[in-house]
Amino acid sequence: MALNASSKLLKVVQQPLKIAVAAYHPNVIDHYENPRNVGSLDKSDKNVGTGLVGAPACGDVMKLQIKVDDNGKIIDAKFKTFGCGSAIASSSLATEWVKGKTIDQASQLKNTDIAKELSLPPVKLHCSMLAEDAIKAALSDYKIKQQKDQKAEAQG
Amino acid sequence: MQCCRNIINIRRISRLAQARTASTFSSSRKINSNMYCPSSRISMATCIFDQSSSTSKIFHSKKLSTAPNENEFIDSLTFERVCEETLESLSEYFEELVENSQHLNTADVAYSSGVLTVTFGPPYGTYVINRQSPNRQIWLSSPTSGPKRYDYVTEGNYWIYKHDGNSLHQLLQEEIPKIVKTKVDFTKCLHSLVS
Repeated sequence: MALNASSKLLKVVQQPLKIAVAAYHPNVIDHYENPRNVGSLDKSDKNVGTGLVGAPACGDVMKLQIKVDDNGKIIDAKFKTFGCGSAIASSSLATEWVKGKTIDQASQLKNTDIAKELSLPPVKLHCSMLAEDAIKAALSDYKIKQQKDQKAEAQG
Repeated sequence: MQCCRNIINIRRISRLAQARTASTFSSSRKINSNMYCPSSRISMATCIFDQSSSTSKIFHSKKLSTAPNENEFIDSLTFERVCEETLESLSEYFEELVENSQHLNTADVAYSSGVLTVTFGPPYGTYVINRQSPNRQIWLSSPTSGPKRYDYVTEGNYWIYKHDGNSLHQLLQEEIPKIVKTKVDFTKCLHSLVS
């Protein structure tokens, strides 16, 4: 047992130093260098849903907005992200994907789809999760606005 | 035998010492060790925010903020200690598991400055469990179930994922046996709760 433990220790010493190299998938670099749909929509518009997620202290804040037409279809999406390359790429891809979808279809979007498309490494899966959270937050904001609007109409 | 113990003890102590230094400089060092992309990668082109989103505010998604005990933010010293103990103890247990699994010959367990990386090799993938000091959380990235963020529950002394109410060790207890193909018992680890 003693031999086993020390031989393992030797093995550790013998291993060459592994230096982590930041190698992003071309898809991440593409979205990072040419982000799609950067910008803002009017957040007071009742057809616009705004999702704001993340914490500035950890270095990631994501704002994602969607504009929905009367048939429940997302006609426009914009984002602004303060964060790492993967966070920017994830939100850029998310806006691209939700455009043209219905709100139900958009809510089906999963972080795993984003992570897969961008080939994110294990530690970066959290970025794709943030993008999913941002979409959900935007959709929920839109739904709350619509409910309020319907209530106001009913009372008026 | 005694000699071997000493070596292991020295390794443990040096690890602890490493962790202490790391936590002292956590704000500057953490970013580089936790993330593969350096912080300089932050894009200035997309970071212009409305004045309303001032940097001192913490934004949570709607789901997170509805969870119970959200105001119970443990103090940073307790967090650092509990977090260190949790990761240290997980690291030791993972090492034991990997050592006892003959088929995992390319597996590797590495722990340094708050980042525990368990590489099981193909086809299993890599687990990353790391300290996330700004939100007092432990983040986990699983190759099968994806990313999760755990908050510490003081009363129960365990880590919980508020989206589904499961504990960190519960998830590992469910996922790891499929990889190591032996019986596992994560209740051995510090700050664990397995039902």
